[in-house]
Amino acid sequence: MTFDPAVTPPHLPESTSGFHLPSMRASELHDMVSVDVRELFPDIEPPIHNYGQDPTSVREAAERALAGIDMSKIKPEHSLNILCSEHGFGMMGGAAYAEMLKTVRDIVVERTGCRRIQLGFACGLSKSEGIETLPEHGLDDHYEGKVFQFGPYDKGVAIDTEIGRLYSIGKAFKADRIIHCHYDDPREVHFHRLNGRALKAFTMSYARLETRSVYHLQFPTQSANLVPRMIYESKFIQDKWAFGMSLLSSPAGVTGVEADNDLIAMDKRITVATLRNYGKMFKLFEELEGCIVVIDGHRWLHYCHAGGITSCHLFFGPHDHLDLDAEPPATGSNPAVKALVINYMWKQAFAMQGVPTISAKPSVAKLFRRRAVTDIYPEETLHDAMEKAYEVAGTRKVMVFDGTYGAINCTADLAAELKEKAPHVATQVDEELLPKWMRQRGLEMTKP
Amino acid sequence: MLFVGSVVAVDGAKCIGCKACDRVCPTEAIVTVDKLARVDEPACTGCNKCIEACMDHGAISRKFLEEPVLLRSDIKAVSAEEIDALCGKARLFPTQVVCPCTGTKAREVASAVLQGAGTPGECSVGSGVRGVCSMWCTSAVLRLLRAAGHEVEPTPKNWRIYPDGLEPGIWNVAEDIAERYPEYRIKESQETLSTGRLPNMGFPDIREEQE
Repeated sequence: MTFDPAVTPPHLPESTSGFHLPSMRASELHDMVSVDVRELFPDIEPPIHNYGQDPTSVREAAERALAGIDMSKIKPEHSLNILCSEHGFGMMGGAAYAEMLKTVRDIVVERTGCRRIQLGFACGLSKSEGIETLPEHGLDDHYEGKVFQFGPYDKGVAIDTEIGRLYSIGKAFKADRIIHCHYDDPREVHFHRLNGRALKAFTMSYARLETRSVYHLQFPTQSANLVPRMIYESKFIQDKWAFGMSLLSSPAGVTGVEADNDLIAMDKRITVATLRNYGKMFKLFEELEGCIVVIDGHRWLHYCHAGGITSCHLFFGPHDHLDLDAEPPATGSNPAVKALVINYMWKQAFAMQGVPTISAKPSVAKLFRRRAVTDIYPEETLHDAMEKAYEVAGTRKVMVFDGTYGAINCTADLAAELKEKAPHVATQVDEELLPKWMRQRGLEMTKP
Repeated sequence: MLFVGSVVAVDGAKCIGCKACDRVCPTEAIVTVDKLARVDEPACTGCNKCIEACMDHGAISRKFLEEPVLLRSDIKAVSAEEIDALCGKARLFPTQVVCPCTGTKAREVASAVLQGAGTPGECSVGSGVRGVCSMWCTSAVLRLLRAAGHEVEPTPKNWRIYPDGLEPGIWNVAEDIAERYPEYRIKESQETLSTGRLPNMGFPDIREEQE
């Protein structure tokens, strides 16, 4: 069996959220190859954009999506917050998401005359994210300096919903109108179950920590999406709501842009596309027998991509989280993850307790030790870390989460397993799982 | 359980006494007195929310400790029966991890409460819970405190916690809402709840009602 050479992943920019940049990427290891996701599953939607490419195609897609949007609710005298979230910039280097955010401002100004527009950036953990990200993509200039950030600990605003009082972040909604600008990356499917994905930001990105806690600890995952639905449908939000839009993707890259005045209608379309584009890759990851995971991306441990799939999908396997009749645990303990090698990621140390973890740099080990992660092996180089991982894991199958869409960087042993299993997975998803997932969500099977 | 590897330190020359830091501190470890923020180091879990709140002024920074400080609750200090009863009343399983950042289990927080912790901050210092992000565990802490008879009042002048934002739960969703949104399987979840389990959450328990 022959394989393609490893592909070059998105670059790692310096970040105060991360460690010192590594001297080499995992894709540069001599035994790395790659597998094209569309070679595994030819019906994955082809991309209009991927990392490093001109984002003009994204602008054109956004313009097409916005052409059908009713913007009459936005008046020239209104203040308008365009809300975005940090993770969108973690997809393919962030250029596509940034282009969508620039386009929506341009179109709104042109069509409504409104110029009191601010870009609100929902942080993941720290406001240093926006300080780095917004200038990197020229968004502070594009928004004429009218950008602000907010985090889950900022001053809240009470939102009275039909299920009771919840709290969002005050300054996110301190405007006459809002536009919700998100992305469809189905990360954390173990929480949202792809049953209201486009609404999730109302209980995460824009929510106070209490509301996030309600979502996680007071509802089971099959019912938790009622919480963002109630926030979205509250009078408080509906009075301000203008429209929503989303960057669309497949494991191959950006596939387009969606927009709608009705977020529920948009969510249904996104759900259908996501089930079709991601379902087989999800199932394939769930079928893996055992591998070493290498984290080598410009985001947190759980949110780095391999072939467009976030690492958390592997960690929270091997369960089918798309099956709404099943009761998968909401904890990450996939026995197929035999070892974890960290070459680069943003600083965060939790949730992989019990998995032998090898750092390619002593400073990473120091962070994990500080948070009482005990199974940590500090090595000096990536080569040393890989040798240690082979020893403790007992396998040479390696998958690299380095931010790549379109292909998975991995070792030949794992590439062979992926190729061998793909045909059976495709048949199972087409004939059994996809119809079931659609039926469970009340969606109709239509041709893509 | 949390190993605190760093606390925070205030640069008096940069602090303007605006109280932005003490408005967000989950353990009330940082308090502004005479227009200067002061840190009670043993109460600081190193969550860095105050650093975020002070980003415009840069008066607060991390101070790494020579040796990490362990925040943990001894679950053997109180009887297992008491812990189980308090967790059950709060609809939590004793062995359930309620704080993924710190790995703290419900029984550890319950033990801290039973040993005298009466506020969210005291629960944090007593068990490590809420010591990092607070985005998962806050409702568990409030539920355990309430189950023990401690009401947490809203504090309008700060936003450390909004206790009135933690009421909605699968157990109190009204029937008409459950019927209106069948896609969220509310009735199904509530029926499972009535049997004393809700599998993928690992929580609740209806021991209170059963008793």
